[in-house]
Amino acid sequence: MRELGRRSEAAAPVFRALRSDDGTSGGLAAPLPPLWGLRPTIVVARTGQRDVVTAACPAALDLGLVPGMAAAHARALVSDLDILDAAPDADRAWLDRLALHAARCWTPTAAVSGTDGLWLDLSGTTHLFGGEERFAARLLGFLRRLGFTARVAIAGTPGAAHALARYGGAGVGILPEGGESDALAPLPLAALRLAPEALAAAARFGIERIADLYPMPRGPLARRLGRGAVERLDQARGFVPEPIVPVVPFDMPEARRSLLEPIGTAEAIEQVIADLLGDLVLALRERSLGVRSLVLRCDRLDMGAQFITVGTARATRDAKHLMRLFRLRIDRIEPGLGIETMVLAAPQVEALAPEAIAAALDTARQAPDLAPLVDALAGRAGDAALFRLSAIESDVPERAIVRAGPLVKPAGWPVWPRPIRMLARPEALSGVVALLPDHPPRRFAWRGRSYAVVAGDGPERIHGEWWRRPGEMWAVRDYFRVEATSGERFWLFRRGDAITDKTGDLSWYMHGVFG
Amino acid sequence: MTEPVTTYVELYATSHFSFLRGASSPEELFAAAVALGHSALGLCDRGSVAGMVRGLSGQETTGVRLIAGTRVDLRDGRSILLYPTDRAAWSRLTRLLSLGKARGGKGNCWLDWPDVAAAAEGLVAILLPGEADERARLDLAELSGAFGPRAFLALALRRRPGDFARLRALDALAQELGVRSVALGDILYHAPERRPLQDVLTAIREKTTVDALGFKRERFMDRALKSPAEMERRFALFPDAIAATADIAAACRFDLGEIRYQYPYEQVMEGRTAQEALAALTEEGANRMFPGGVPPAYRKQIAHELRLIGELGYAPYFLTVNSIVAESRRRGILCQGRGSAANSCVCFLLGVTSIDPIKHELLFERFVSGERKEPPDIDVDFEHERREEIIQWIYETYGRHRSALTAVVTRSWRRSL
Repeated sequence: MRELGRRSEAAAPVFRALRSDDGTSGGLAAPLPPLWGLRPTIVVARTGQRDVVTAACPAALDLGLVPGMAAAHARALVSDLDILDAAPDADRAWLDRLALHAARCWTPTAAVSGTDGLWLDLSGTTHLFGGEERFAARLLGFLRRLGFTARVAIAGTPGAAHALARYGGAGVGILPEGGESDALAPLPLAALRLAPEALAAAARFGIERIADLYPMPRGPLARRLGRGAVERLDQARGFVPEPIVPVVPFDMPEARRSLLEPIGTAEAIEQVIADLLGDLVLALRERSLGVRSLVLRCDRLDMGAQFITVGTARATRDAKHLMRLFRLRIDRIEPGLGIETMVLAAPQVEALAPEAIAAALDTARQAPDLAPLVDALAGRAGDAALFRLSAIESDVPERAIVRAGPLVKPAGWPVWPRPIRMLARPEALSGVVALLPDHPPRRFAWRGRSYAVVAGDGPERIHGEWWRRPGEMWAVRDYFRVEATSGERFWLFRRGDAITDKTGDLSWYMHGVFG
Repeated sequence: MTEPVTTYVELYATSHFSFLRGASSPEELFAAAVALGHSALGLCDRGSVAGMVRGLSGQETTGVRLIAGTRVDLRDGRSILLYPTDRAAWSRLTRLLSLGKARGGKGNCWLDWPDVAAAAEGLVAILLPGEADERARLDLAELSGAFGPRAFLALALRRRPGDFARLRALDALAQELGVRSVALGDILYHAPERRPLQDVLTAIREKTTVDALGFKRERFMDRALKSPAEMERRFALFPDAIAATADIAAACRFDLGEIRYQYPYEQVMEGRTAQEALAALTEEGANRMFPGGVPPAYRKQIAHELRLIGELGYAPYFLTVNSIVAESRRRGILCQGRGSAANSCVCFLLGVTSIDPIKHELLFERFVSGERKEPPDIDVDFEHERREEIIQWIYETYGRHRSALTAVVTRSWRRSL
């Protein structure tokens, strides 16, 4: 069991200090500049109403700044202080990456422990690295190159490793088999991962060291500190097993066929694709995944590679449908001298639960599934050519419409009547004769024709969206629906409410045409 | 040029006492009303008459008459404006609101149609319809059945498509049912400049940002107070709806100024007023205190105090405190008046306090004074072991609905580091 613990520093500032363009391979292996400069550095996070120090560099620790104190207090104690904001999400992301790296390179069972550590299950793996000590040294070296200060503890239980890594002193601590109880005894109670309430209760009873818990009768102990505390103690001492939930590296679903004979005909390629899809669909079904895109790689005899890609509008693992999509593109493959190997990979997958077959037995008429049609059309016309119009909750007509994906359910349309056709931008009208302030125009001219109005409805008042642009603060448009003598119906507006000047200049515009 | 003669009266202005809806204070509404030439203004907040006191001060400063009203939103979705015509109707209205608030809890007013119908007497009701559909017809018929000629149908411009078609249909519906329609401004703020603030208020109410408000914002536009002439121009097609506003304003003569604080009825001795009873009790106490005859200094002071108490009408209050103290004495519970009441010789002789104000030369005016227009308070401490007995006795004697227990939580705020 191994524990990497970082107590006093957060990862984020370390990597901000990293320069990626310093000319060395990958940047990570380069010797780092001093992580914190001459000035002591602390990391603060806001909890509720106060800024609290979450980490401090060694220099700051020497000055008496400790995690948990108020940031204002720290600032008062040390005047020349570098203060960085905590980035818990970035910390977590790095920890996850480290755990994945550990799971790929060192042990099959690795997990993130708390917010500042990793658990590695080393059962049966250290001999690959020359024993526990050499492995621990190697681990420390790896992390140092990355810019982390770490402590390693190897113990028989996750709980003991956790405690020793954080409270057991610097460097590497390797505990002999069965030594957990003795090693834990002098450590503070906080090392046991107890709930805050349990820690507070323990402080009230005057329990400070883990050793104080050993002689206590277990019944009262569970009553006072909670059952969880007793369980933690037993887990750390190895009386009760504690499983580690390991991180699982995600592998891209992939199917591969190496061919006995190079192939070149479309029929043969189609057959191989069908086989590959069969393999891939099985793998996807096992993992409850559906693909959003597929990449087919064809390795040719002359070492050239051909790629074709298909995308789907919705996660699917329907081999027939995917085959149809590929069939549209087979003619784009140039087999050259012949194709040796074909690999089908799914770089973009989504969780897709198995469908119930009962739905298919249901005799009621169901809405046809649009997704296959969308995929087929997008395959021919391109993804950008397919869209659906959806509404945005805005009264300003220009902003009320948005392009949405072809399978997105559009938002509801406003209840007020709107013209069938809207002009892309409003066009100015000339020769408008209208009564102010709230009558539709009697006549107007648009695109070189003049119209006389027989009927009109309005005004519909639309205010500028003042929270978007200061210029719209007081802007007003009064919209009118009018019918001309020739029978056309138009949607016009006037800028301004005709009462105050700042609402608009009373110019008239055409904005749309009804049917 | 003279002002055109107008009849329109704005009956539906919403102040910021409709919490997070109205964007102007009653004072601002009244100031704008007098500037625009209104003679009266109807103040209608949602499920509340809390703004009336401020509206009354608006009436006093501007001379624009306050027409008290309220908007009740029934649980079935109907919205009705109610205006009391007299003081009895005002009582019914406030009782109706109390009922709804007791039912709905904080911030709510849960009312149903039968509650409103039961309080209909003396109230003018205006139905706020949506569209002129079957729903509006049923609601209006019901309203007309309960309120008779005091039922009206609201016509308000929304500045949305089909506005006039909607108003015409509503007006026709009202005529068909024999109900008058009435023009309303549906005012949310006193000046157009308040519209952005109203958007912000709506965003707070909907617990979102102004950007994300979407169609939750106030959908009907043009909600600032307008002049009577402008309103008459807009409703030129509906002259009777304009006339109806003036008729309603004329019918609602209830003046909030009629209402004064009334001390609850206090049990006094048979056949005597509270003042006489207090005088008798004080006399009795004086004779007990000075068996050999009351000194003239005390006589003078008692007469002075009783005269002032009589003028201000505080006698029932003294009697209430006296009966509580007497009960506690009877039960042998220690009690002691304290604070400014110790300046009063009447309190001393009643046994409420035990400091002789004459001996210590204390000034009665520090306790009760004609200059200070506020009622006195008499603090009495009870023995804390047996205080509960007195509390229970007060509940039994005066009833739980008339007694209240207050508590104070003292907190000192520390600025965080």
